[in-house]
Amino acid sequence: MNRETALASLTPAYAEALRLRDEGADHGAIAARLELPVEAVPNLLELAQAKLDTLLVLPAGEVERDG
Amino acid sequence: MPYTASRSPWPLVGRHEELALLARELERPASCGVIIAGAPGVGKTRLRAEALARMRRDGWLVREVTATVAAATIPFGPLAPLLPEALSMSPLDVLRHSVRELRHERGSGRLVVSVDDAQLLDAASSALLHQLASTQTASLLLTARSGETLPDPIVGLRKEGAIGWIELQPLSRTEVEALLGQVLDGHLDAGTRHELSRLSQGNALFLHELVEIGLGSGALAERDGVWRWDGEPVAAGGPLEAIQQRLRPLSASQREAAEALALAEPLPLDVLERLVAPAVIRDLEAAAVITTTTVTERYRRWWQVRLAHPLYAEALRGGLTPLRRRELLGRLGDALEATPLRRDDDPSRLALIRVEAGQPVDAESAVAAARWMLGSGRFDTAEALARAAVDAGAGFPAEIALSRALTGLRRPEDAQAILAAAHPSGADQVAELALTSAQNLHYALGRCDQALEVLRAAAGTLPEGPAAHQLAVTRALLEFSGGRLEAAEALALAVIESAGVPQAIRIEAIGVRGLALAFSGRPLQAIAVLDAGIELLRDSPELLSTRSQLLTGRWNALWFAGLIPEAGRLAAEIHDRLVEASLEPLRGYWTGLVGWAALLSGRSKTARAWLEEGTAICHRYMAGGGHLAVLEGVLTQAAALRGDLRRAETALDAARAAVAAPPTETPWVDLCEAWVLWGRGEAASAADTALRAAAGWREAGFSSMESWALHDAARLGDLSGGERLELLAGCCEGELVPALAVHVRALADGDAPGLERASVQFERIGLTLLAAEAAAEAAEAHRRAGMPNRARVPMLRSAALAAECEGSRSPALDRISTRGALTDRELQVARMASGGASSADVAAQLALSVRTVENHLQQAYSKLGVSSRAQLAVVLGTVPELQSELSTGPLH
Repeated sequence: MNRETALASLTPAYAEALRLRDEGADHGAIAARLELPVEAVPNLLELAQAKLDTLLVLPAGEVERDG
Repeated sequence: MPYTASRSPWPLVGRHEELALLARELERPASCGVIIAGAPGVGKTRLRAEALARMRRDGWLVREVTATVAAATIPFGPLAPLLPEALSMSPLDVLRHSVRELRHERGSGRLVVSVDDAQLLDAASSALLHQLASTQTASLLLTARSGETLPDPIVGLRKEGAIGWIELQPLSRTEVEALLGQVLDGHLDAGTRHELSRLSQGNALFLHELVEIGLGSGALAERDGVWRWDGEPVAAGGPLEAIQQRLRPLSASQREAAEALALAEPLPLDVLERLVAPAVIRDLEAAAVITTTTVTERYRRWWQVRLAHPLYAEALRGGLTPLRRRELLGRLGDALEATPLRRDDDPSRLALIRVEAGQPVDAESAVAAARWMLGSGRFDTAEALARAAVDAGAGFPAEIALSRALTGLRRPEDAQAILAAAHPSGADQVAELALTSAQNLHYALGRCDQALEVLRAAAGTLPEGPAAHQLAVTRALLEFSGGRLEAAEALALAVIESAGVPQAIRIEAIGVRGLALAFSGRPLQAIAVLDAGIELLRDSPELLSTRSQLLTGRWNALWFAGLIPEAGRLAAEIHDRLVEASLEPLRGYWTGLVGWAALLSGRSKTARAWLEEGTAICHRYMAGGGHLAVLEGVLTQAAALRGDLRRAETALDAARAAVAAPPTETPWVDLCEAWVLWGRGEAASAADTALRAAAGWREAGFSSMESWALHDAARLGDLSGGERLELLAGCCEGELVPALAVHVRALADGDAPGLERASVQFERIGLTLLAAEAAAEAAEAHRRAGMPNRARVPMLRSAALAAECEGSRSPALDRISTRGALTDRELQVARMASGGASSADVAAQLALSVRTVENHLQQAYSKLGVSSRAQLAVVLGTVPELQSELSTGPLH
């Protein structure tokens, strides 16, 4: 899966957070846009990046089972 | 049925990254714990439960409670189960004592205190949690609803950065689909997947509710191996507790606004303000029942209102009585009519509302709305709109729309009666009447000759111009279906080359020419011609069915050119786009093409699931026309290759019944019957039937299909078509037909290297099952030539290729089993050894001596021509389990 397709497959908040980060937005701006506490932003970005990486590695349509 | 346990916990899917992050947060130096925040139903509690289960496994001492509104009125109420009896203590003493007690309980281990719904904690409980965290007595794992106020001590921990914050997001569409796949344990119709994903918006609770509702009402059920939702997503009065609870406190006017949105969202704000006071809408927004956005289109900007969740709409619609619905639609229609138009489809939307409210409609708008519904496959609504338009005096256009709706509703005779009574005026209407009539006669009533006659008769009355060109293109398409490729191509070419032909008609003609080229053995020319047509369509995105037709031709051309993986990618891409656009009638055929591409590559299990879905959609919308017979035929083959003869036979019956154009479709159904005969063990009849199919296509000039059928006949044991295939290979473009010819020639000559070459060619062009067959045949040819050592490599190749084919059966693979001449005992020993067991382990399990096991293993190596356990594993990967292994365990 290419990056663009993977981004489009993410939950909207993750895609938006990564897009804003790529555009240079700081945590405050991302928090304001997504209506989150600013303390939530680092973990949100970490999760978004991890999910993007998973999509880029896994074959299309596969999602890991967690429990 | 795999899913039976109502309300049972679902597997945790799509939370791998969250669990990993949670673990990292807890291990972070100076971490006091983690808060999982999120919307109701998003999966906080489930994630917390999984995290706690893992922590227990890792040796943590876990103490967990759930905060509630009732317990929050008592100091320490929510945490009471964790605390010592402290009736006589002051709050401060409780605090100190509790910390001491819990520290004692923890000992030298690690303690986590976990609270679900931490936003409901009272001040005393939160102070205790703060104390536990700041003294590093315990780590905290809390869940909380997003947007709700947390007690100050917890907010303090968050602001200090002492406690990590994970804002849990809904599942992505991919994750929802994976979850559904696991829960329902089977292939889920793509439309249903999309709809459940849309309705739940990734909210696991809503998704669970929806699935329970569907299973409970029988709307969601497995039919022919495919899970599908038939009917409205949410039945009236369904137990959508979480949603109904949310909507219960709405006032009468708030509910009215929400119901109006449920019937016709999105609505412009000013339309809604004509129904209820602005303050009501503001309150709904504050309560997160609705969302508002600004929309800018063509220099116009306005506020638009939607319900905050699609399930609200389902729940609200389900609660409306017919009269209430009618009244509300009437008021909504008045409000829409009294506000300025914003979009081109506003009149159609209004007409739809008026018709549903049983009110008079504007004739022209009703026709436009009926056409809109026809494109979406909502034929019943289209019929209502078209009848309203006829009543409003719309005349001929309304009659055409009505007849199309009736065709869609499987009432082609009624449709024909409407057309017979229609009175066209002018050349365009004469052409449109002939065209609609011909399509109904050809595709729905199977009267192909009469259809062509209608077109010819009308063409005789028309002057040169767009109307005549349109008829010529339709005639070309019907000539193609009738197996008269030259006539089809000539008609299409004449339109393409005529001056002054409207672009849309020219592109349709390009589509027909592309089909004729592809099927007559010129797939590379077809691809070039069709790509040029597709390029012209860039400026006309509205011509969806023309685009689909061009792409269908391209798909066939890719197959005939030997570009199978590309054909698979094309089908998957178009299918996904049609799912997004909810264009169900068109999606049916493309779903089938996804399956067909999978079948060509040998993946019969995947193919069957897609084909079951595709044929079901085509049956539902009767939009298959000739497609239906073709797809049922492909399904026949898929089922036969899976060894499911009963399903293959029912699909074959359906294919025969759906034949609309005998000259081109009957050979296909014949070829599919050949595979059913093979499944029954009637090899000679199977090959004869395949040759009959080839003869049918030869007559129609379908060289590519004739080649395919001749090759199938050879696979089924009759090589007599080899010479003809050689001839076709010399004149057909692309890699496919030459590869088929190489294979058949090598088979006829018993030429092992030739068969190996054919296998490599097949693999390169994506025909994996054929590649596995040719490799197995090469191994057999080597053995027959007295060179068993040379059989080893093709044998391994065949095994590895067949392993990609999902257990597909085929004549060659059945005949030349990779099991070779192994005895049951040798196979049993070999299988255990290839699974990693040592000779001593095998000996112990089978109560044999190690020496005997080694002997069996050496025999297996020798007979299979392998030299290692790894090679053994590859070869045995495709050998079916022994019945005795399955039923009685080890042999003694």
